[in-house]
Amino acid sequence: MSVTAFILAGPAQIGGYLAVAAVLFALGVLACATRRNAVGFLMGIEMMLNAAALNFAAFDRFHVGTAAAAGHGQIMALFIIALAAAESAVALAMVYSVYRTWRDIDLAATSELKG
Amino acid sequence: MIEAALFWAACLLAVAGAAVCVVARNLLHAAFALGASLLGVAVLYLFLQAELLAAVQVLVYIGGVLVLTVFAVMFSRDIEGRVQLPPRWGWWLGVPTALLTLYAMARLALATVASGACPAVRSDPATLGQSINRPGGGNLGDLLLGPHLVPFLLVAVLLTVVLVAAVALVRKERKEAGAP
Repeated sequence: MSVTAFILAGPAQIGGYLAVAAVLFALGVLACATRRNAVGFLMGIEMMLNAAALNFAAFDRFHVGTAAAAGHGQIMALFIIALAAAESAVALAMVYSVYRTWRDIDLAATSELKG
Repeated sequence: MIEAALFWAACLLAVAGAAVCVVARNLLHAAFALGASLLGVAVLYLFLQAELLAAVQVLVYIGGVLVLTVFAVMFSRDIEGRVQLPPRWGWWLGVPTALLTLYAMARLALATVASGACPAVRSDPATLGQSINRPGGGNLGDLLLGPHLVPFLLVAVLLTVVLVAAVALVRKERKEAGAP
């Protein structure tokens, strides 16, 4: 498929969604690697989970299959969103707890058990 | 034509928001950029005819998770203005890892498109309606309370545990701080 056809087809093909999800996932990895701050690290994780959910929804829409198979990908994306919300609630509560103890949420600075 | 332009605009919003989120020095700016990225993905859900997912994305992610994140950035106000330096080997380690991930996912995506399991263009609405019978979110409710009932209930239990755990994590500290 030529580039022009790819661009013109836009939302009617799976390629665009997969590309966006791949870039989002890679950026999430990059955010996790480069952030010292616990909240910034969490943002990277949210990005990666979001990319995975987008992939599930895209494959649910485009994959050839019987009518009975439709919708399961969307359910999976729903579960991912619910788990991401739960994870971020607990993680931010922990960040708050850590902040009260150290007055800092730098991941490198908040270590007591140094070898 | 307009549809394609809107689609690519949403893609650009999602990717550019994420990119700004990665490179922003100020954590609050990063949080708002993440919000733009999540909004772009919500629009992509609309293009995927997943209206419920789009609504949940806006309500839960932007209305819940992002507000919580902004709150977490703001209560630690004294670190907010500080320049956020990455770890020493962060970029040296992060960029190759991210590029490797991108390469692997791009190869998988190209293989998927080439395999023909996901037809490139399905413009015929008649066959579309047959293969995916999804009026709004009604079908999703059947799926949730049918084959996915056990995970659904487990998520409900998990959310309850998370609620209690979050409150317990924060309250315990307060009690200890006030005791002496």
